[in-house]
Amino acid sequence: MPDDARQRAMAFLLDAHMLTEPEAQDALLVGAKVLYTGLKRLLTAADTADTLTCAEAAHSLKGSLLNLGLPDLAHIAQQAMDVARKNDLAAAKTAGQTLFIALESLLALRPA
Amino acid sequence: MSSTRRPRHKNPNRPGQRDLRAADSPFAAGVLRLAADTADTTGSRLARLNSLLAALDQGIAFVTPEGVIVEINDRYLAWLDQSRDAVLGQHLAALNLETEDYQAEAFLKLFRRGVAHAPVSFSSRLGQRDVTVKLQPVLEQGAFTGLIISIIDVTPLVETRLSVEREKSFLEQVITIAGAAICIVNRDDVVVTINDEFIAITGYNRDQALGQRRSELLRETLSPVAAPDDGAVQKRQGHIITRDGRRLTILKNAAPIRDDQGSITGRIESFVDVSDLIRARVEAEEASRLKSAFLANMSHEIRTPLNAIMGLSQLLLKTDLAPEQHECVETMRSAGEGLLVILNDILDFSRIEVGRLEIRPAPMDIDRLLEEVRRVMVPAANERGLTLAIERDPRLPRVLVCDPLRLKQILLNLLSNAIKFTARGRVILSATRLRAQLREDGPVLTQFRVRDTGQGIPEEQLERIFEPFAQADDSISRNHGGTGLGLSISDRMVRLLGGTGLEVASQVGRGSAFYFTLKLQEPEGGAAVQPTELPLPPAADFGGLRVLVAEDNPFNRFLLKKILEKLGVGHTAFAGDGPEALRMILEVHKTKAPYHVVFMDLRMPGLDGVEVTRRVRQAGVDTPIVALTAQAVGDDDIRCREAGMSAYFSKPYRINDLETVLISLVSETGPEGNHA
Repeated sequence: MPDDARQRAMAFLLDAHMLTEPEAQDALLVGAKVLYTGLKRLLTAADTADTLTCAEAAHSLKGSLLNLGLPDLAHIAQQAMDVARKNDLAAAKTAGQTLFIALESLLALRPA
Repeated sequence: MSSTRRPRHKNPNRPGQRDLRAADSPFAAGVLRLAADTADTTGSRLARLNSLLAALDQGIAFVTPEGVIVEINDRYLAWLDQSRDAVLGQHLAALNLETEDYQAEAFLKLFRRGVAHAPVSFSSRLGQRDVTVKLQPVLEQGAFTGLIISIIDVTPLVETRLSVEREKSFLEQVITIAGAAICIVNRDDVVVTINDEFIAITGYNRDQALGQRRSELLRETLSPVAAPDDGAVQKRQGHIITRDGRRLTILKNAAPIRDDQGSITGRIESFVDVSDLIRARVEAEEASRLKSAFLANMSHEIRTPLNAIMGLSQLLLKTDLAPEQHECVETMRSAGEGLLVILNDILDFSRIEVGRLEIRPAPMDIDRLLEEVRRVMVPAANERGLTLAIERDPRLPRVLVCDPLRLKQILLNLLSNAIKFTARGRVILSATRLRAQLREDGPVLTQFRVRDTGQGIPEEQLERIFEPFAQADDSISRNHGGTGLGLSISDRMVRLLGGTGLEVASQVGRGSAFYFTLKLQEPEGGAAVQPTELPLPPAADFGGLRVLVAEDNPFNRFLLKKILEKLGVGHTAFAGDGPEALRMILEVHKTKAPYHVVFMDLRMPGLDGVEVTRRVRQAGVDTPIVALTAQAVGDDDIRCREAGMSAYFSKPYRINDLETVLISLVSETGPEGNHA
């Protein structure tokens, strides 16, 4: 199994959804944008003590990550959601930052 | 036949010297007259009487009061197996009439002394025959003048009677030793026969049961009759109340008893007490249910932290670890992965055991399935330097009905084993249409076979290879891991798919072949499609399908759009939140082109998917709605169905899953006949 998130997501899109390589590239691009927006939303919500938005952002991230074939990272998003709901926004922020690192190669696809 | 008119002994009381009178028989009178009136009898009369005697089925003899035999017919001589000359003039004893209880000689004396006058009948044996003997005294003016002895052969009657008695005795023996209670009632439902087991079960002894109405005795309640009372044995379950008031569950067989004319004269019933068995079954089912629930819960409870361990291990592996640390973490990740496989195996096995593994047949593209399986297994085969090949019989239809998920699971398991146990060479998966099939329009006999050039399995280990937790060799679990459930699960899944189970042929050192045969139907109206190169076209035509995707996440929307495009869905609309989805569904429903299917995310801004569905249903719209969720909470499925959703998907969804759902929904709703 490739350990890079981008490679793993690519392999998943090719295999599970039978996308062609260009289609998978397009999907990764959209995914990268959505993940970036979601992560920013999560971190901002954590900084501004917006528990509800933080949990919603984490939930949305979880769905995207599952559909990218990244269940381990989706689990971290799930944890972020759980701690956000418990008002532990510092822990949610840490989870968000972890995801940022783990998704680095994928997020890099996003146009500057 | 002839009857003599010339006695060999001089006899003062010869009937021929008197005017004889038959005691009670015209025939006897004739015989007597014949004997007494020889001189006066005309030849023609003698001839007639001789003919009469010859025609008789019985043996006849005439004996003088002194006991001398003076007349006897041919029948009697034949039964005695003697000639006339040998018998005539002999004493009565020559007629073999003595029995233990009846002695003809004694009766003769009684008649002679005038003590007895009435005829006497008794049973005796004559040679191999059972006979009825009648001693008929001939009286002339009150004086005893001779004795007519008639013999009737009753051997067939005795045989019949003995046969009936033997049969009766046999039946009595059967009833006595039967392991079930037996009760025979007459047409008035009155108990006429019971056996010891009946007494043991009900507590009623013979004195208490015989003569009683059975319905009042046992106060029986039975399940409804499955079939009309046509004389066949009825099998039913019911309850009876015993003499001491216990309520027992019984399994009862009952059948009417009919006479020769077919009229019902009574009823025979047998029953066994199954109370303990039923109780045990209920307890076992409850235990099994608890075990299943426990396994499901445990599996969920274990999987959640396991996913975290695996995910975090992955993250750790990306960091700068020392080689030793890297190895440790990789081992941790790999062990977690192995544990997940085992968990899934155990869960599947427990589901099969309690009959809860759901089989969902659907039209399935064979080419697509084989290709999917190949794609999954190629990396593992490459890693071991093996060639993985797929052989597909061109006579196989492209689309067949089967549960693609389970079939794929079986094939992946067989391929995974083959790759695991093959050091060099190749692994081949073939799908073949069997030639043995006779009817073109019947189900397609399809054989799937996985062959390898591996180490093979010794014959003595082949027998137990499909048993749960069995592996060909204990060293296998040490060297290759696994629960030993894979083949057992596959075998059972093959049976659930309608096959006769998994089979194996193997030669040590040369390889193994695991195979199974399924009777697969072609989908109704589905024409055979010629196989083409990848990418594969969809197994059904969704060109006429109108789909609404209600999803707020842009990436998930994008992905669904791509997938639905690939599946050939003609029209796809999107809603970004709950209120928009509700509005679109209700608006379009009033037009002539409502949606055929709605894919609905559960968590959306404004209104969540469950609430939207509830309102849609309240508005009387019955469009199938498929839930999409990343939540995977235990009762999501129930909540969705309660709200009126038709199916439920946990992310990540895959193209095949969506295709399967679309096919099943389209089959149910049938949009404009566009599906194959």
